[in-house]
This record gives sequence, structure tokens and C-alpha cells, in this order.
Amino acid sequence: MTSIQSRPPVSEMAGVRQVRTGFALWLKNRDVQRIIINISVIVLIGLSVQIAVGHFFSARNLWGLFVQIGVVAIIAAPVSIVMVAGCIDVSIGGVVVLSSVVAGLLAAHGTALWLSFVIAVLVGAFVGLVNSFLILCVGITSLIATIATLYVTQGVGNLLTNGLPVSGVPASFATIGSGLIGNGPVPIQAPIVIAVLLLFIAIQRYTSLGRYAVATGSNRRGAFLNGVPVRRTITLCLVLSGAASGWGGVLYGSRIGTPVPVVDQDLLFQVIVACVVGGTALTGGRGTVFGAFTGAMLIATVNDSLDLFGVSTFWQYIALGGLLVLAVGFDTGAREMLTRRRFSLPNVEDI
Amino acid sequence: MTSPDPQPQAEAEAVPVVLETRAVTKHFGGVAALSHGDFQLLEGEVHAIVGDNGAGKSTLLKIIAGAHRPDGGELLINDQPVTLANPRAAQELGVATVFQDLGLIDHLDAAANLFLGREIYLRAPLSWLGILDKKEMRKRAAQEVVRLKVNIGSVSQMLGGMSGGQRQAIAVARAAAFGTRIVLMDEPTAALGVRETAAVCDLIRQLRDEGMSVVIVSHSMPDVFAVSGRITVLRHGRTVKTVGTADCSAEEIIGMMTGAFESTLQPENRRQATERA
Repeated sequence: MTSIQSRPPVSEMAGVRQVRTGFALWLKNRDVQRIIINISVIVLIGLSVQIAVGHFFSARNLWGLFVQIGVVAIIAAPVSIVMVAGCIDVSIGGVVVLSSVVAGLLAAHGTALWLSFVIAVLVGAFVGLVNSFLILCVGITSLIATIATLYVTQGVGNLLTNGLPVSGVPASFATIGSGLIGNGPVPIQAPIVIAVLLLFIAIQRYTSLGRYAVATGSNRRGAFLNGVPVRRTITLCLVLSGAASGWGGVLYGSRIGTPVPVVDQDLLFQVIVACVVGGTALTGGRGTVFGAFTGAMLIATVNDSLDLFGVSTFWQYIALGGLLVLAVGFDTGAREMLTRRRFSLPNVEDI
Repeated sequence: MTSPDPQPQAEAEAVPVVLETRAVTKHFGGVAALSHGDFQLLEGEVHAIVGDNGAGKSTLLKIIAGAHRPDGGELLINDQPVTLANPRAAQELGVATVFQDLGLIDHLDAAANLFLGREIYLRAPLSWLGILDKKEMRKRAAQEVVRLKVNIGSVSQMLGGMSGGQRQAIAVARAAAFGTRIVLMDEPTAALGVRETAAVCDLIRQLRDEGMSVVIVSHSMPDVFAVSGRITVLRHGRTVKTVGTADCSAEEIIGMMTGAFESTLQPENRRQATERA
């Protein structure tokens, strides 16, 4: 070993034959499968409602659906990234309350609308920062830490308003949440929701944060040993979900017209259901923003079609529970059954 | 398989020492995991560290890798005494480690795993937003994969769907890329089948042929004899001896590991010990 060879320069290396992003590989991706399934189910439900009752594929109904689910979709986008990073954020329910109340109070006291909205978003981001402090510095699990901040934010929201609806909010406050563009069917909310979704899709797909979130959620120790800034990643994800919840709170309060300091449990759980139905794994590492959006749309479609059929709200709760079981059950149970061709209980390690 | 390269002692003097530990010690509580670790790594050699369970070989490797801080003794890289705060500090000095659990991310593709923690970003205004140059990373990852003859279908394939051998190869490729001079491997063939083991051994030889120094910690005597140029034997936390692989037999190595060397082992027992290995 006296003659030491140096490495050959990159240019002399064998041809680049392994750059391939094939369609087959893309179809094998479980996230992609989940999105395709969700969209197909939405279209199927839509078609059956259209045939049976009509009215489903009307611009009015579709945009109405969009408004119904806009807030859920906005919040589910970053929450799915938080879940990919191996945490969960349930403080969103409280943040929506707090930020809608803050925006409403500021607007009622004569602050410019845009400024009160910005402050509401910052309040949300601050709650995200507190969450990350509790998780990373105090060492509380994300579920417990964010349940704590869920209660605290709800309490602060109530303190600020004495538990009453915010009074004296200017009429213009409701425009962003419930107004239409011109006289057309398109709500002002729509482009806002779409812009926020595109922003988070871009963050997940094209930035190092999206990649670091996957690494952190999939194998935290491995990610750390490989030089991934695990703490910064978790902090950023939580701040983003806080800020998005703040913005969601603004839209939510604006849709009602007078912000109320009550946690909307439906909203909170719809966000989590949207993420899970969209293919986000609670164990971390897997999930997409767009998948969570299709999950939100699926929830809205199911509720809307039951409405059109004249089924009561009570049944909608049952339908939502069934949807969750079906979606997640398909992922684990049906896959197993399809491969084994007979029923068997899941492996103990997989439970 | 190429024969392990002979390492005559006289010639060894001419090859520079790239890494050295002098009497390093490491205690965990009251237990001395390593009481006298002497180790010398030459440029461009494959050096195996062997020893029975608890002999301190993994501890020694982790000290070199920067994962453990030694309690005493000296660590020298290129004749400079160094203190390594963490694996990243070691990496900056050209020492990369493939830990036994590999530290790979199942939910990312091969290219993303190769570049994890050292991503390539797009040009200036976009890089401030942390926007990745995925195309460039895929291209360079494919080049690395071809260079190291790693057998994977596509660098866009998720790691979770790969075999143990492919994962090991990706982990090695990760360690060997980007200006690494010394690669440390902890039990690189522990969980692999026969063909995959052979592939990893080929990969180790390839790194050596490219001028890198490789340290492997292994239980597998056949693999140690297949790839290493020299062997350092540890026993009870002390370096017993460093020998040229060509100058000794598996039997003698096992004798040194167990302390039975040059003692009165019955031929029958000795045969069994060799078979076990």
C-alpha cells in the first residue's frame, strides 16, 4: 500500500443512468395512493348525490363547500407537517378562539383591519413558540403540552371578552370571511385559502424544512446524528401551525361576524381527521399537505351530501366517525387482507 | 475476492499515520469500558478492530467517531491532538461513521438520505428561503451510487422499501462522500445475507482503493480476513496486539481475543473455537 490512488474526478465517472422519477415509482407512493383514493371517493359521492338529488355540481354548492372547509384546510396544512415531524398540535382549537377574539377586539377598538389581522397571526405564532418551548425545553410530550396551551389560550380568550361575544365589530370585519368577489359565486375566502395551501405545499416539497420534518419524525436520533437541526425544525413547524391557526381564527371570526370565545371542537377534530384521512401518520414521517387538503374536502363532501339528502346533523357525526375508521382501516387492515387474502388480526408489533 | 493486502512492518513505516489513539480510557460509572486503547490507522488501509463482547471495541470506535469523549489518553488525527465534541466535529476533520443502526431515514428517498444535513440549495435569493436544488442532488447522488457500484434501482426510491444490503450501501456511500478520508464502520455485515455481505466487502475494498482509510469493528472473522490489512485485538478494555492479517490465522486472533493464545488449549477445543467464528 505504498501508492495511494486519489479519487477520480466526478466528470470521469460512469454515465448518470440512475436519475429516474418514473410514473410507476410515483404510483407506488402511499401518499399518492391516498390522494387518488380521496379524490375518487369525493367524485363518486358527488356523482351519486348529483344523480339522486341534483345540485351537487353547481358552482354555488361547490364554493359553499369550499367556504365550509376553508378554515379546516388552512389549519390542517401546517398541522400535517407538524405530524410528519412526529409531534401533534391540538392547541389550534384554542388559538382559533384567541386570535379571532383578538382580531375582533382590535377591530372593534378602531385598529385598522389589516393590522388587527396581522396581530392575530402573530399571537398564533407566539403560541406555537410557547408550545415548542414546552416540548423542547421543558420536555413535555407534544400532545400534553398542546392540550395545556389549548386550555390556556381558551381561558385568555374568555378573559379578554369576559366570556361574551365581541361587540362593536365593524361590518367590514365580516367581508373577508363571508363576502363574495364581485357578485359572482366565488367567495373572497377562496383565493386566500388556495394561496395558503400553495404556500405550505411549497414549503413541504421544495424547502429543507419539509425534508427535515420527515427526517425528524421518521428517525429523530438518526436525523440528529446526520446534522439535521431537529430542535429548529420542530420549533418552526409549531410556529407555522400556530400562525396558520391565527389566520384561520381570523377567517373563522369573520365568517361568524362576531367572534365568540368558545372552542369549536368540531373544527379541532376535523383538522386532525383531515390530516389522518389525508394519509398523515400519527407516528411521524409520512403525510402530505395536499393529502390533508383532500381529507378536508372529503369531510366537507360527506357533510354536504348528507345535507343535500336531508339527513340530520346527528347522522353527520356518525358518518364522520365511520369515515375515519374506513380511511385508516383501509390503510392497515385492507392492505393486509389484500396481500394475505384472508382475515387475520394485525401484528402485535403494528398495533 | 481480492486477497487482503500484505502489510510488511518495514513498509508500514513509510505510510503516514492518519489517526492514532494513545492509551485512551473510558469509564461508564465504575466500569472501565476501555482502560488502555492503543490504535494506529495508516493511510489507505482497512483496519479491523476485534474483541469479545465487552472488550471495548465499540467504545474505542465511538471515541474516534466523536460520539464518546475519552476520560484519558490522546486522540490524534494527522498527528494533531484533537478533542471531538460530537460526530459532526469528527466529520469536519474527514472522519465519517456508519453506526450499526445506520441513522438513515426510511421515509426519504436515497438521494435525500445521501444529502441529509448537507443539502444543496438553489442560487442566492432562493437559498435564503431554504429552497432545495433537488435536481442537482439527485444527479450527484446518482453519480455517487454509480461510483460505488451500489445496486439500487433509482435514487428516487424510498429507503423504507430497500433491502438490508442496499441500506448498508447507502449508509456507506453517505459516509464516504464529500471529502471523507477516514470511514469508521460498526458491525457493517452484522445483519446481512451472504451476497449482501460480499457486496459490502467489495465496497470496503473500493474505498481503500480510492485512498481512504477504513476502520471496521466486526464479530465476523471471515469478513475481517476478507477485507482487512491489519487487525487490532482488544481484550478486557486493553489493546492486546496489532498484527498483519496475512501474518496470522483466525485461530490465533481468537486466541488473543479470549486470552487463550499460547496457552494450553486442546486441539479439539481450538478447532471448535475456529468453527464458531
